[in-house]
Amino acid sequence: MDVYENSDRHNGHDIFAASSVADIQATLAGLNQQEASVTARLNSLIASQKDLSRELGRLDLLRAHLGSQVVSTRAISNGMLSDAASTANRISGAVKRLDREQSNVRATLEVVEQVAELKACVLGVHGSMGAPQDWETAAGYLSRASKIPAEVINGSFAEEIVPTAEIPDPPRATLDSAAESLCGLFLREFEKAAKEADGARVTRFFKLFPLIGRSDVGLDAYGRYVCHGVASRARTNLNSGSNAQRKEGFFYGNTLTKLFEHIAQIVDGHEPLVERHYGAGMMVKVIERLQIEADVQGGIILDTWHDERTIDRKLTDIKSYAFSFLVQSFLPAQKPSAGTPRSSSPAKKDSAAGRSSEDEGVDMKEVDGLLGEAALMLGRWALYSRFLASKCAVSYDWRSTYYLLTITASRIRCYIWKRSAQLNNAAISLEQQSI
Amino acid sequence: MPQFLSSSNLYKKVSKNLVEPFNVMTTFFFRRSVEKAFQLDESPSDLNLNPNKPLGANPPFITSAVDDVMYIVNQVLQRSLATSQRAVVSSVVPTIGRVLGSDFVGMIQRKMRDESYPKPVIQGGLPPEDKVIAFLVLINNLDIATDYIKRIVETQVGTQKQVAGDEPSNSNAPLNDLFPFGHDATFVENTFKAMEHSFSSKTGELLNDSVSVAFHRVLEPRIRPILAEAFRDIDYAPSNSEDANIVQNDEESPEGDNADLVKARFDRGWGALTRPIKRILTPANFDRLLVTATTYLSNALEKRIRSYYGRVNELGAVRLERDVAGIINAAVAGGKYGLRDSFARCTQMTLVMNMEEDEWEEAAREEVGKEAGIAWVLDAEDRRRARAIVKDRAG
Repeated sequence: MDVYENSDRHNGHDIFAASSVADIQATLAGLNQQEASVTARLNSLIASQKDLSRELGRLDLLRAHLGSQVVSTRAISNGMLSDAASTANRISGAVKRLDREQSNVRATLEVVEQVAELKACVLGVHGSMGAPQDWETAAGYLSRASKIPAEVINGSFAEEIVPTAEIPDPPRATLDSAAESLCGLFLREFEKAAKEADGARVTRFFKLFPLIGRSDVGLDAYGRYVCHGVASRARTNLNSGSNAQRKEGFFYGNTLTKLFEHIAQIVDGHEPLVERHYGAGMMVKVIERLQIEADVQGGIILDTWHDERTIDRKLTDIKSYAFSFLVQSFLPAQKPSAGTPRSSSPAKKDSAAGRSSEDEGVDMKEVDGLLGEAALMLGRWALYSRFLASKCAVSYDWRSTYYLLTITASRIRCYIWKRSAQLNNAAISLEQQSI
Repeated sequence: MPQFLSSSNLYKKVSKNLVEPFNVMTTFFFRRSVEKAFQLDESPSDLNLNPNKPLGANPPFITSAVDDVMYIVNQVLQRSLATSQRAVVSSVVPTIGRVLGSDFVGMIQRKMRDESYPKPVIQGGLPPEDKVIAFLVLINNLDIATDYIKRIVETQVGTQKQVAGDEPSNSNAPLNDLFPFGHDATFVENTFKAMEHSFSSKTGELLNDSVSVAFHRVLEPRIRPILAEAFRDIDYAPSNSEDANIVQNDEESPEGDNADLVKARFDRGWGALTRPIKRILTPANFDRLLVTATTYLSNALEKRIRSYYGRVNELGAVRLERDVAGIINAAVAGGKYGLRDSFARCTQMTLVMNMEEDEWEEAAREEVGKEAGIAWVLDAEDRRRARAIVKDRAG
């Protein structure tokens, strides 16, 4: 149409507007020409249609092929892969079950072993507490029993298995009562030995307390024992001095020195024993306990010194001393050295001498002696503080504890990180296997 | 110090029953000892200002109070340190410093002012010998006491710091042993140093004052007469004929005598004045006195050179230079070399007077601070005036 109109307009001829034959002929010729071109185009289109339909046919063919492929693929996936997947699932489930069973078996075995151990301990305690009176062995069994987890001891299985005809009670009750009676017995023995000053037996029973889980009772008894020793020794030292000795120079200084030395000896000598049987850092508790006794005994010595040497009187005397010589010579122009400076100086000396005899209220030798004794006591106190500080610093230094803690924390973190990486890897390989 | 120890009853009891009385008693003990030392104070015997008579004792010449007090200082400090108590040291050491500063130094000051002030009995005369000696001995007291305190503190604190100076932690090892807790050792060291410092500044002040008194009262009135005597009848404008005479005379009498006349006279006078004092003063004190004296002497000498204005000819100028140099040598003999610096103006004046014309023209143009050859202490105007002293060159 477009073409037609165009050409029509182009020619500028309209058959309806034709006014002559020549016009009509010209228009006709134009129309003919148009028809020819349209026909040619139609022909070419028809020719291409043939190609297209051939292509379409080929496509159809391909689609048909594809369809069959799809069908076979689906069949394969349904038939074969699902089998494999479920198999893998089953396998891993079985493995897990196996693992669980194995660990269960192991746990059960452990419990059985523990219960067997428990039974051995209970029997051992009972046996050694009976006729042989072997306290060390009994305490050793109790210490072994204390390593068995509480839920095992309290568990119904143990309650079933452990009691025998001779020991009908459940194991917990047996152990507790054994520990209780042993504790009482050790305490009695310890105190008896302490009273008899039997060092070897004191040590023997002292060592047994931690084994039966009564460290606090042991430390307490031990603390009482050493404090008693310190107190009695200090009292003897203080009272031993005759009146003459007490008056003599450094009596109180020496008494205080002996007290500190005694404590230091105890701390130094007993520390290895306490730390070995009761654990590191336990000596600090003993030291603190001893310090209370040192407070009492040292306080008594200092108070007696203070009273017997009448320190307060001396201080009052000292405070009332006027330093008249110094003060007088500082008074402005007490004797204006105008004309006779020579005669003024002997006068001054006389008056000074007169005053100094007045001032004999404070005996310098005595003050010097008191200062010496006080200095001695202060020096000993400083030594003693330093010694205790060093002893406590070794086992009780919060800084080193803090350091250890940080190190442990970082180690744990590192370990966790490694473990989680391993777990990830294992999971990945499992998945790969199952597919 | 662990908590249970510092909060224990014994700790409280120690500080109440021991530390407090210790501090109070030490304060009293020390102050009373100072008092006693001054009550029993004795000056060294048989001192005199006659250079021909021997002194009856050995130097250093100090009164007995210094030795007594310093012995007690050392003893008290040692005892306080031995207690290892920060509370003791922090109370005792400043107290000792205070008593030393007020009572010890104060006593010496009082004695200087009231008992031994070198004051002439007759107006215009010289102070009596015993006063002068006593005053000089008191000056020595200050010097020696400062030295003692310094040494005592050094021994107590430990001197490793000054010697080695490497690791500061090792520096006060003895103190660290005695005061292991916290920063106590450093605190103690600083307390000692502060005491020494306050004492030495106090004595230093009084030393300067007393040395200047000693100079004004004892030396100064005699310096002018000595100079006058040294330059008596000396003519720095010898005529040529006189010159010839001298030459003739020189042939008869040995040249040295006449030439060194001024120096010999001055040396005699100066020696008579200073030597007895030097015998009594400690070396450090004599140095202090000499510094003051040479400054004054230099001024007097400069005035005297100026007073020869117009009475010096070229030959005289040569002699004058020689004589001035001789006086300077005599004055600083035995002292520090640096003492010569105080005479720089005098030497430069005689130097200018003796310059050749061409040298002088060069020197006249130079300005202070920008000189090529000589570090001038005289400014250009001073130099011109000095040059003009010589006759015929005026203007």
